Amino acid sequence: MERAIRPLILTWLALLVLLALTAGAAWLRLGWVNTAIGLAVALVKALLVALVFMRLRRAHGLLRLAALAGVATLALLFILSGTDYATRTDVPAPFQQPSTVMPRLGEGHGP
Amino acid sequence: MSPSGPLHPDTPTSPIGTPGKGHHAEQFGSREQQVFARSFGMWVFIASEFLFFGPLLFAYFYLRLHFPEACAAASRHTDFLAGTVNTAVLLTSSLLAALAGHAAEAEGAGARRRAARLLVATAALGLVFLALKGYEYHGEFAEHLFPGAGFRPEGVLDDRLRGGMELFFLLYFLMTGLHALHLSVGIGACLWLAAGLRHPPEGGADPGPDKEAVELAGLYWHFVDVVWVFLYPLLYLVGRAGA
Repeated sequence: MERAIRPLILTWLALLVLLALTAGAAWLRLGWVNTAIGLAVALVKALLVALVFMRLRRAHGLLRLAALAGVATLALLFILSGTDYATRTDVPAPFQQPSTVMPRLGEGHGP
Repeated sequence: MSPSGPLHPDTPTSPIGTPGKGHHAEQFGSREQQVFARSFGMWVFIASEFLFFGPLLFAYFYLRLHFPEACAAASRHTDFLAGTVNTAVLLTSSLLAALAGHAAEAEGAGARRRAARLLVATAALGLVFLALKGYEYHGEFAEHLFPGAGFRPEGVLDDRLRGGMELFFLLYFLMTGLHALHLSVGIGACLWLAAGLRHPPEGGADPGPDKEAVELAGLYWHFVDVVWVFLYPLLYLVGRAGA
């Protein structure tokens, strides 16, 4: 194998092993840990692709900063939106049938 | 514009992506600066693409928080095997794109043809992905899993559960559809670039492939791959172990 492409091949093999790991782990009954494993493996796979395939490992600082700015902005928007949506109590959605929605005030007490 | 047409009007003798060594457009101070500006522009674009997919991911986050059972029930209806095979196909296509970027760094006509072949192989795997995705969509339409008036997942009687599942499939089709759109653009870019690489510039010595253009197409391809890497566990792996 040509020496220069060895990291690329090894990264690809690691990605396939990680895929097998996450696909297999999904069939074990672990509760919330299933989701944690899925996201952790996805994060490692994304980092492998970004650092090796996208060459961020040896990239200029400004390029890494551009990538980081995208991730950081997304995280910031998730946190700010989450303060509302992640903490809000569930309200009936329009698709729910009237029978499953709480009766409104003043209804059902007619003569 | 033909693949070998001029990129910059001020360099009429330079076919696209193959400006002679040391040449640069007049707005840049040097060739290195121009190359760096292209990479930086691509990264800024990719960063903005994160935010394009971001709202869909946040909607998914909200759905998982409020309808955990419906997400698990809906995710069990997706095609696990097709999704897993597609992930492997996309990861392999990323390897080929990276190899194309590596091949394009060499000089001469051989490197040019090698890079073109690898780009065509990358695009071919992209087409395999889209074909498999289409097969999945076909199955989901047949099972009445497309959100709307016809949404009738088998054996689900609870209205609240079905409503949550419908929202999950709404996001499923939006996310995978937007991803497929991006992948189609990537396939087009790879084929266009490969067509340009197969036709060396006329006259003079062959300057070899334009490694920066191949590198930029690869960056975009890897980004689309990374998006799928996150979609896969979120859409296909929820609640697989049973209710």
